[in-house]
Amino acid sequence: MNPVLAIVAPFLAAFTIPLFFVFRKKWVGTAVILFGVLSALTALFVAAGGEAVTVMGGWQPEVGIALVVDSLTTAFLILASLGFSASLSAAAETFGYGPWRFYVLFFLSWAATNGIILTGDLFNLFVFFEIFSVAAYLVVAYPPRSWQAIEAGFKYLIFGTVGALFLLIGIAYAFMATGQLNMAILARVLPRAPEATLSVVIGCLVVGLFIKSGTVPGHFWLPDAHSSAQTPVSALLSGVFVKVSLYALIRLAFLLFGSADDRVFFVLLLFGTVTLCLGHLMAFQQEDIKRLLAYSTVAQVGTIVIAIGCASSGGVTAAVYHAFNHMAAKMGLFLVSGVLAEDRASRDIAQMGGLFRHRPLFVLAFCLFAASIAGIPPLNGFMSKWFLLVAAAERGALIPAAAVVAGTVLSAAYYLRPITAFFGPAETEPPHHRPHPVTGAIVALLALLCLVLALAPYIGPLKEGLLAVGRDTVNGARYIERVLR
Amino acid sequence: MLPISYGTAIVVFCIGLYTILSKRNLFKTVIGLSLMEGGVLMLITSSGYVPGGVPALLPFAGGEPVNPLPHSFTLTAIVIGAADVALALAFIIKIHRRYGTVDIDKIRGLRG
Amino acid sequence: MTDPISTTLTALAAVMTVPAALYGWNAARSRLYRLLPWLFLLFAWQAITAPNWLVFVVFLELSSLTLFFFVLSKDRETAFLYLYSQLAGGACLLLGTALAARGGALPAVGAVPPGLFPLFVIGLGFKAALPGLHFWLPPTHSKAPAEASALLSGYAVKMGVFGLMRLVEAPSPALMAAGVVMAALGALQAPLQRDAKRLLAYSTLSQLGFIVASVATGTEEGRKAALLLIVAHALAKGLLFLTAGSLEEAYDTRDLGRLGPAARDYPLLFGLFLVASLSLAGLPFTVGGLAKGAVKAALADHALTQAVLSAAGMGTTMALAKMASFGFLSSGQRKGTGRPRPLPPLAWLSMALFAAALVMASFAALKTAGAEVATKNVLVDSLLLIGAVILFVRLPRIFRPDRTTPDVADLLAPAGRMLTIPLSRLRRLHSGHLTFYLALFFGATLVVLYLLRP
Repeated sequence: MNPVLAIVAPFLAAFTIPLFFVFRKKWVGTAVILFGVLSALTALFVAAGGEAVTVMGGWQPEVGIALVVDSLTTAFLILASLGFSASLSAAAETFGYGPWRFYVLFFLSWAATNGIILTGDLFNLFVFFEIFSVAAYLVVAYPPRSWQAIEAGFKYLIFGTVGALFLLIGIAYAFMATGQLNMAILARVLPRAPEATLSVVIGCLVVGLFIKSGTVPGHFWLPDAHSSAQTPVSALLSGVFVKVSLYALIRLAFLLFGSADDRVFFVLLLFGTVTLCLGHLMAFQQEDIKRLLAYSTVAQVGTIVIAIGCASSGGVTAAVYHAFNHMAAKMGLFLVSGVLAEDRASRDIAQMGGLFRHRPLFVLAFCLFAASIAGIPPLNGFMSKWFLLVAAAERGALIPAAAVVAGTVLSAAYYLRPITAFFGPAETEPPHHRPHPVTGAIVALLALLCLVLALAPYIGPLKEGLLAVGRDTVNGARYIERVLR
Repeated sequence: MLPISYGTAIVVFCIGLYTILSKRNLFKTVIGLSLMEGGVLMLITSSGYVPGGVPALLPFAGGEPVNPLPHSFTLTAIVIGAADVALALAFIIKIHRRYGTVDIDKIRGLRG
Repeated sequence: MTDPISTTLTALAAVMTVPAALYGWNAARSRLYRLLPWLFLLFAWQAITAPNWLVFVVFLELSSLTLFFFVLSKDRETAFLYLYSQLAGGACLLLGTALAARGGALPAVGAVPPGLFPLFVIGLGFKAALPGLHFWLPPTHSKAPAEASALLSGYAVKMGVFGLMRLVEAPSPALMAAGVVMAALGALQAPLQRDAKRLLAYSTLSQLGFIVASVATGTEEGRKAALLLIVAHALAKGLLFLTAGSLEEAYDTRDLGRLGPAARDYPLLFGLFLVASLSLAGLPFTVGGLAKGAVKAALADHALTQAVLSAAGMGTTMALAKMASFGFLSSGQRKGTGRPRPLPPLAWLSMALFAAALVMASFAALKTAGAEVATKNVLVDSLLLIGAVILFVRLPRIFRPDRTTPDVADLLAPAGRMLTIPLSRLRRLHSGHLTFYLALFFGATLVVLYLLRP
């Protein structure tokens, strides 16, 4: 299947939903669901289609925009379609189909996400990043009634724009130094650029992606946005949006930065470690359950950045594996805590008493996800942490590895706080009790996904796939050869 | 010629940076952002410069054209920047309604 | 891996779990709680027979997790302390395993590269309660349900020691010193406690010191002696914890100052207590006495260690004498009212099982050791035992159960308070000032560019 369809399908949804609203109001709901299924299936088909390179408009890759499908792309396409589908179902239940504007933004960000994952052109990457970000600012601030949502959206916007500026500077410098924008060609010619130029290019790109992915010190928007957004959006932010930026980091790190010897990977290790520690320590002090989860996301971003910083195929495998694990678990955590917070009409952990008796299955799912994120063996979080530890040990990165294992203890500590509250006594009965069948089903599926991912190292094809992602990604020459044939 | 235009771009970028870091008015923050973006766009545009080049426009008069690719990037980036600025201004209006102020130091309900 | 060590420990796990599970059968809050001991047994078996350190760590963690749920059913704070300490130990071990696995296969359970030895010792130290890392042990043992305390003290800490046994293949003076400190610390603390189970917990610490010192010799003889002492201690301490738990069940208190004449109410319980404590105190011809003799023989080259361990043995005896005197024999200072509660038959059965195992182990050990070894130091050992009892009787003021003693665990609260200062600083960093955030970010950008300079 032509990769461009994975981008076109959600775009089509985004542009036709307003038309449905204007002409056939009753069809909006059906259209949203159908487009959701269509977009997810297209992306999965593209992912299943195996490696492919398409240059738009039949130009040469030097001129046209190339779309590249390789194993890393496949992995992230699957991740994105899982995450978007889960979030879309939860959103359809939470919001209904009235707010069609939300769905327009939702599909816009989906299209842009697939674009970021598929594109082989640096400037195109920037454009998709901006479409993605503009949609993200708005979905974070949706519905723009509460002051938290607006403040979070605004801060995200300022930060995101600054990040985009740095990306733009990096891309501009790369273009000025080489006259090329195709990533494969850049990978070939960029090392010939003067050392100082290379440093500036890499520095600007890395810093821009730090903001987009929520790595310290570009993480300040992340807890605000995650805690203020509506539950399905928080889940999406943590599960997919952050991962897409990390995808870009992986791709660029091994394609373009690999030439700048170890300095850039040292930077990644350093900032990853700082992010990890800061995320855990801040999560430790939160009273608001969604903010706690948000800081935990910061810490997990740090973990993945460390994995990338290991600069080995094992590291990339660990990063991708951990991205999947974090997606499954953190989306589940956000969805569950959203339901529970709604029941209590409060996000304060101290208020969360007696919820186990109220919704036992949701609370048990929360425990499973929390244990998975904390890295309690033998759940999936532990597995990917082990992969990461081995990669870090091979690299000789002792301090990041120590930070990762220390994080296990800390995250157990802060996840036990809400869990204790859930099982604790309640002063009053929870006032709300709206059934959440769809969210419940998604949480169950995510829990199942967690268990499947925990078994991934024992399932032949999955394990092979994960290892192949690492091998192919690190091998920049292979990518170049395939794009340029 | 080229050093001057690069220098201008850098100066404009730094003015924007200074504006962002020193001004408390949200509008000025957004202006600073636009200035920074303008600086970057100037950089890109001037990178397409060819000494003695002619505009790469049809009908083509002859002579060596400047590189048109940066121009198209700049156009794209301008559009994106415009969207960003419009969105930021819309947010500021909303913020002003909620907080009754556009002082950046008072917009800090989310912290910790 | 199968060798005498893992075979013995595998059997010991079953012997420990069955009585513990029976003891807790009635008290269990739900059926799930009845499953916990069996889960523990399963994980313990897997850990003991693990082919490599990774599998060992995973199942060690899982066994700790089951015990965590056990403790959780009675005391939440203690359970969390236990969980954090065990996770910290597991984290060190995991890190060590990853570093040992560098560039090759998973490291087999055994010696590791010398650079990683300290990391492994620290990791196992959390489990085996090496001095300084033992902060979790006294509170956890004293506040857990009795059957969990029995498993904890009888088996869970021994799994850490098992790791040390595999790890140490050459004499390790540092570990020897740690063992000696542990033995002395436990023996000093135990007789001064007022909580019956806390007293037993410190006595566990002291006995672990014996075992660790013996393991630290790095010789086959030392390992064998340690293994014997592990068995002896596990059975005796399991029985002791169950009797202490029965006392609590009957009188609703563990405070030695408030316990009454249990020997009158439950003569059989006192008999069981005597069986266990005589073995633990090292009475000649019991498995405890034989094991201590073997440990001292293994430490023949280390006179100082031997001397300290002998003194520590007297401390254990004094502690047990204190428990006997105040827990079973004292003439009714009990403030409570009414008759003590009767104990369920399953509790008696489980204690009887432990006692039977202890007696059988004694016979087996006697048979293996032979008459010559068994009688070698009878005089000295008996003198030490009697001396300790005489000391206890002559110095009643020291042992009066009306004081509490300081320990490392007391430092946890101040340390936690100290940590809150930097943490709140960090929190103040996230002040909501957008300008400040951006300034920080631009600063970091400069740092990145500096780090990337050619």
